[in-house]
Amino acid sequence: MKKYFTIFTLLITTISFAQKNYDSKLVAKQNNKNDSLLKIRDEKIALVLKTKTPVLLLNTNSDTLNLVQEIVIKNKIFGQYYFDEKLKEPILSEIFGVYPLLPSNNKIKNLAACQKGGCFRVEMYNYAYNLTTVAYVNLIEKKVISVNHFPDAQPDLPAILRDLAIHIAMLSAEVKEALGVNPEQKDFVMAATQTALNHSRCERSRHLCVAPTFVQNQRALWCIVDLTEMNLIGIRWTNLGRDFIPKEMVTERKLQNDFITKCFCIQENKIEKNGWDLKYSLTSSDGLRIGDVKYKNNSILTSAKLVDMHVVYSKTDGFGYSDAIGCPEFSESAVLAIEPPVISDLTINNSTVGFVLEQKFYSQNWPKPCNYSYIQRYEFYNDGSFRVAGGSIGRGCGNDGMYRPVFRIAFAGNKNSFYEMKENKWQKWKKEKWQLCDFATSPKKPERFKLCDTSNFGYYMIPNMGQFSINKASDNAYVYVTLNHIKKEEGENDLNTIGPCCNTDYKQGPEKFIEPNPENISDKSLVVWYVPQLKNDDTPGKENCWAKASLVNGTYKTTIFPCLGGPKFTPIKR
Amino acid sequence: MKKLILLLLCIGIFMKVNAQISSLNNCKATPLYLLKTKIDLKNYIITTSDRFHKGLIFANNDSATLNQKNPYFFQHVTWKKYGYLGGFVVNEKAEIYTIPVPTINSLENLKENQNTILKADSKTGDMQPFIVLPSNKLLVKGNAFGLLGIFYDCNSKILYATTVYNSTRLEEKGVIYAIDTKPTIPEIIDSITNIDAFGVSVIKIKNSKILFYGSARNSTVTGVVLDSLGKFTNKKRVAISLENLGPRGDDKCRKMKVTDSGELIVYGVEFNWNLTAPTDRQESEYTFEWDEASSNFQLLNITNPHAIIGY
Repeated sequence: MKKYFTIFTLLITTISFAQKNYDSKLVAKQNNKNDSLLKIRDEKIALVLKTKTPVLLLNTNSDTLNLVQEIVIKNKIFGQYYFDEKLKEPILSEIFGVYPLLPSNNKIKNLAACQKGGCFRVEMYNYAYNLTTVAYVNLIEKKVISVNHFPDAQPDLPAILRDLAIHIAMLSAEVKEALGVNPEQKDFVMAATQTALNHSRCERSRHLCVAPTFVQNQRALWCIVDLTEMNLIGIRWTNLGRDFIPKEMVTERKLQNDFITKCFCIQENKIEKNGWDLKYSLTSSDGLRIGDVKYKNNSILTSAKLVDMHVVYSKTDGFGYSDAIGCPEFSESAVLAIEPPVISDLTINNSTVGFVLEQKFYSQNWPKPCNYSYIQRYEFYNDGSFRVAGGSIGRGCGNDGMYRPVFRIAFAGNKNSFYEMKENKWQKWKKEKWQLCDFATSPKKPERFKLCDTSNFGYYMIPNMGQFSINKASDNAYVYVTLNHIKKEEGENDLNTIGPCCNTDYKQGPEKFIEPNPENISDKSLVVWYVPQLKNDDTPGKENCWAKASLVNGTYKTTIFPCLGGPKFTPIKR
Repeated sequence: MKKLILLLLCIGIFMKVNAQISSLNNCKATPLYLLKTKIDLKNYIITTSDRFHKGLIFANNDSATLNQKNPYFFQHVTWKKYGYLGGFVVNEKAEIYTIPVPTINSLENLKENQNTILKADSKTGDMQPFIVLPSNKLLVKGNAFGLLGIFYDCNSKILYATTVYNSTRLEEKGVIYAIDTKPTIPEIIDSITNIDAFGVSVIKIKNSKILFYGSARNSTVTGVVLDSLGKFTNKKRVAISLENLGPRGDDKCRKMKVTDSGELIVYGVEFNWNLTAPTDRQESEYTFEWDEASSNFQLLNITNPHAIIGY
């Protein structure tokens, strides 16, 4: 299974956009590494991070302004956030502006220190902490008068960053396509297009973002550029008001919510690939749902989804969360889809054996402690096998967490039966029931269960006994089989949270549809519920269900250690 | 003598400010059942948002107590049986009115119970449903919320409550209710329909009583003039906009508070009709003052008291 994770990280992902006629569009991360302007900036950053004052200074020919900068960056309070105290590593800051004190700064001007003039206001931005530091400096006395730090605030951009933002937008193929610009015409059309730099925000990532805006006819194309990552996030067309002023600010969150909602929550999408035919969409609280799944025109699944995600912490009795995952707006989710689902090749030993449909979900301040990210992954093999998987990408509230995702997998057909391999024989489950798959070792024959109809058309179910996990951990899953009622709501539509966070036994929710009177499940329409138990770990080298932030080039980057649980289904050969 | 004149002047200014804008919910009484507890009656808080305790609790107002795993707190057994709770008000009889609001999930906040205002008895603390507000029988998928805001007018003894129970992504079906608490059976005396409102507050400006409500769909705060009976008049206008202000730029008004010095604090939060609840509270405090000349609120400052620097 190690291979899967190698593939998982190395795959060149291709974002499958559900529709072309968009108002908003999130764009895949660009590779602008070879761009000369960005290269120069990277080199400057690398140099400055090696110094004791990791601050990019304002580029100016003024000796006065340079002297002000020289004085202020040496001030201890001004430099309070130059380094991450725990990691002892430099954080990137940049002086955005040095201004002679304005008459409007009465409070400062009236200070005795500035009565004779010669005072300056210095604004610095800290990229890692999204923090603005403002200092007042008396140049005559060569003294820093006051320093204040403002979290979650950004100063006005210097010219160099304004130009860079527009440059990054213009590098993007999506922007060119949206404006209808041929590569040959690029410079001419871009120069002739009215361009403005509007304010924007990256509320979720807490990065420095702006919006170069290109005006065409009565519409404006907003390009949200992340200057912390030096990348374009997405684009959005807006109608201009009467005064040619865009009506509302386009921000990272608005763009994400709008795009995900319109393209994946309201709209159902289709995949036809390698003999597979299926629909997929994001739900209000059951994650990414696949439906009407067919392989070579045979109906396989009615639907599959992730109903709940339970996490409990062993060191704190009864402490944990029962999270729902799904759409970012008008949803009952706590952890949200803010990126589109990704379709990519499934590659084993360098050969493509199928494809993957994958969706990640994030809470607001992930990967800060007590914030969560989850993943759903559907694997479709060219031989008709498939896997329904999901898990955690950390980080949560502690290193003693146990994640229990609750999968609901509804099979097509109404004459199905469920069997368990016992003493080398297939034994039928006659009534709804559950079982813990706590197999001590991987059996030679991994097919522990099968679900098939009266003609033996169906699938073997292979629980994860370590063979699919990077750390060889078994799912120790609870498996439940229930009757798929047509007239009774037991989860075919969106389900609210069905189980509490902190039960450590089989009572994870699906038992509600079994107890107290289990029904007959021979030759019926069936639902398989699968609840793996995934233990997190933050031990260096053994991280699992974990994420950690580290400093790269002065800003935080996240390293992820996902854990995935879930069964694989292989066709029964008749 | 100079000092006395100065003092009188200060009092005069203070009274003038207070006369301009004042809140009508300053009648909170302390429940007698707290005498039997270890709650410090001179310095306690009531909260429904403690991280480790679902429902409503009384706790001593110190950092050793709040959001700690095992602090001393008082919670009547009925105060956690309605799931997670949101806003609350305490009246002159020490009765507590509160509303259920789902947090993280709706496991214990079933949608059908989210339009019921709850009341804790002043003598026993026992919490029971006070009034079930009208709602569609068909449950609306994708909207886990019902009641969002509550305010008690100490003068008229009218409870104002906002609900978005019947609203959907496309339809604004919220209601602001005025509920007379004086009769034995509470009586809805007025309502404004088709408005999704969040925080609500009645503020006295000069001699007018104005109900202000924050929109749950945008960043505006609207004022509606009340008549002498506490009912809604047709006089209504947007008074404040938080659009493009603060770290997020599209905060919704969760709550309002008038300070002793006559300033209005609007508590703005991120609200996108989901159940996300980040540990770092996404809330900013926007302070406004009433400008008599323009009859408008003027923004004084914005603070982010819950912002945490670093990882």
